[in-house]
Amino acid sequence: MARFVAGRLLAVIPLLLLVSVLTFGLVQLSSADPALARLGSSATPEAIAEIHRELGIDRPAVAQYWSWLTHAVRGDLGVSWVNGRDVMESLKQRLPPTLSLLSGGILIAVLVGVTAGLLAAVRAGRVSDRFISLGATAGQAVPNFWLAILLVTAFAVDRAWFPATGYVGPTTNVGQWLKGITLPAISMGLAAAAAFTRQSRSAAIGVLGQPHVRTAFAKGLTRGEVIRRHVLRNAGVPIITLVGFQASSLLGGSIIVERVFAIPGIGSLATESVVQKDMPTVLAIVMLTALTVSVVSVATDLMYAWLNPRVRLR
Amino acid sequence: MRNASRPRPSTNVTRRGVSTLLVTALAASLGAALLAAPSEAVTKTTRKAAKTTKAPATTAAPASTAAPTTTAAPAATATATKPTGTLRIGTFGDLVTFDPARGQVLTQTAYYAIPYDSLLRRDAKGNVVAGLVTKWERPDSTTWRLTLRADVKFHDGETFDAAALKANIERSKSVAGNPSAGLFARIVSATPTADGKLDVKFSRPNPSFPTEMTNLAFAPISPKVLGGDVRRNPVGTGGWIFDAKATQEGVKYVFTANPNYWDKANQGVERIEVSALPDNNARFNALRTGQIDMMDALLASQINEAKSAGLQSTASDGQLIQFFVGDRNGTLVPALAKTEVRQAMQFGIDRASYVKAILEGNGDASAGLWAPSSTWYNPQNAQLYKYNPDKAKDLLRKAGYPNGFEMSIPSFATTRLANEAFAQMMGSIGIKVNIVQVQPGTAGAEFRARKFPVVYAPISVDDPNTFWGQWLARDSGWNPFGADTSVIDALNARGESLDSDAARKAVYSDLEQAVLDDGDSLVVAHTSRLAAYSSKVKGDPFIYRGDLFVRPQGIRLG
Repeated sequence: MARFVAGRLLAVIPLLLLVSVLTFGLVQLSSADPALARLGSSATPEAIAEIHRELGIDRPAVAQYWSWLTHAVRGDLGVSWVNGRDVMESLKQRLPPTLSLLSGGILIAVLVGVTAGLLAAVRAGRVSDRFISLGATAGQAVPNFWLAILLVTAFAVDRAWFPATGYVGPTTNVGQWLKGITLPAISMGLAAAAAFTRQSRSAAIGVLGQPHVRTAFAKGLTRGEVIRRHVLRNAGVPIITLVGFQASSLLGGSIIVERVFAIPGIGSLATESVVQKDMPTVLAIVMLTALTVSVVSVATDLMYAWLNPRVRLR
Repeated sequence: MRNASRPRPSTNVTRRGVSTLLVTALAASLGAALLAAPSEAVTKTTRKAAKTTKAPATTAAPASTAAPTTTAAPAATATATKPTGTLRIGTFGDLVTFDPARGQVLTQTAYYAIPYDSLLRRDAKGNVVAGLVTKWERPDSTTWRLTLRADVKFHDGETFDAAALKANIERSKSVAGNPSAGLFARIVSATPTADGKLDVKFSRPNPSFPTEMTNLAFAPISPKVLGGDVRRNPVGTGGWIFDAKATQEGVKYVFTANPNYWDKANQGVERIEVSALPDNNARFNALRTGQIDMMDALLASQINEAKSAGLQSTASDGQLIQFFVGDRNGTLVPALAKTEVRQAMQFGIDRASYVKAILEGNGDASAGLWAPSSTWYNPQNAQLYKYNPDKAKDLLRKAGYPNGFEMSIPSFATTRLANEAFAQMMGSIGIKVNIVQVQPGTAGAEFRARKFPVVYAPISVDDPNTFWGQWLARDSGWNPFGADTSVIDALNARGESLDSDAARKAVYSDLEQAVLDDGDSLVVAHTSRLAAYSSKVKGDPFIYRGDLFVRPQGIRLG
């Protein structure tokens, strides 16, 4: 197991290197100028050149990349080209809100999706199954930003049940934290819940037809016991795979949702940085995202083994 | 301040209906467990606000710049009371730097106006009044003599005096890449006098200096920190001191009342929190739900909604909407070298339709350079070049372009509508305008790099001399093609040499007409910068002409 984990994590290193090269190249292709973000469109060519000199972007691209890489491997991600803020500090500050939304979104997606999927599976072919399947299709079709706007209008602006914007950390006030992430997490989680519903329904229907499940029923176990002990565990492998996929997908979706709810997370930082061609911040965010996706992937593999003893990690 | 129009009840009814359906559907499926108890404080604030709909503030009266020798009463007029409460501001952009010599003052107003003071201020009518400078006079045509307040200290206890202001001016001149460099370019020297005044010497007469001194680019910083890092350390003379410990950079910036502030009467709040809320709807929602007390960059389309939610709004109508023609030599587009062609473009602009369709009624259709509330407004010039497509086509024919010609204009998301409207209007007289997408915020730079002949350029300038210096002069940044400006330069020189605004107005009217006849600036309209605030904000907040946002001096919380 330890060798497996170490091997997978080591494989992340060349991946990160490749991602950093691609990101650097793509940002270089952008014609945006961080000097203009600082100086405005009235900036003189001399002023722009001065900022370029200050930031070191008057050097060849290879020299710029090498400089970034040699600092990054030592944990120095540099400072923002636009506001001079330490990038590592920005990430530390922006990560908790995004992780809160991500975990809240996944939790809602799994709870709502798996419950609805199992319900549809045990009532397969009936009206309730069709109703749930229809709901899942609709859920997948609804864009999360649109849902976010509707939710904020209905529950924050019109009724003030939840805050319309902002984020309060759990260490500051747990109640405010929960209230603050509820609507964004629902916005992110409901579309993902639809995917979980379809996946868990299909997996559960497959397991319910297996001989060992029929045997379990024949032994006199209740439907709840059968589902808990036999169906859920066996159907869990594809669901866990989906958690991995959806975590990456929700991370992307957080960009829009954070903007609608004015949550100062990684997503909103990414938007601002890309628009302003703030290379150190963009690179750091992409690296962090790639690392997160890789770690989630390893964690998913570990979960496989835990859920299904036939899977052996090497 | 332009009156807000009537609310649109049908919109609210529809939204309410949708939200009610959502409540029913989602509340049932998600379960009560997810729904935490309602925020009582927020609910109360919102409902209280909804009950107190107030009429918007009145339109600012014409502004005036200073006479050659001017002594103005101090800006402070209110009675000093202990500052109380927390003013929470939502602004569209994050802080880039606290250093006015390194940041765009216009977009950073919400941050700079709190720890810093401008040398001069404006009153609600737009007149320039005393601030840190109590008297400003011209001992000769190129020198301004400034008398400074004697009771002002910086946040670190340093004294504000002529030497401190001299150090600030010299530093602002020397910082390479200062976005406000144009304001300092003509300053030759700053010399303290024996009696504690400061003589600011210019390379040529600068009648605009009093107006320029209302700009926060001149905000003095403690000489002790001038040589260090000002980016995160705003040690000014302003009414509120930056609280770095309570601040979360990129999220919320906190300031607390300066106990030694010289202008206690205008220091109404104890604490100010500024949050960066880039999304316009999110910022508006935060205001409507009582999470913030004031917001900037209110959209014209939000005025009615703000009013029906019990919010108030204020506006400064100092924004000029124009398409600026740079290629007057015909370098990129030979047709533009002909004056008749540029005049044809003037006649081809349907200003009234533009205001209605693009500005949603928030503007005054005008061909003139100055807004109706400006000192320099000339109604005759505003009526020049009324929409007349037949005359436009006739001029094109006379210029030798009966079938029109083709040109390009840079555009990005936020300027797309304006550029599309321009292309449509020009298309109706036979000029094909190709809209070329550029990176957001770079249209001006692309124009200045001589890649485009014309650019959409909304600006806030309310002084002919400043407009000339920044946009029209032969060597200005916005004349990248080096177009001949001898007539305009001569008129400006005449204006600079005159002593009073009244005398200058006649000359500057001629200058305005010359600019319009030459087709340099294709003016479409004058519009407003809008801000909104909740009913608990008192003190009739207003936006300085040329600023983007309300300055906090004078604001109290009720």
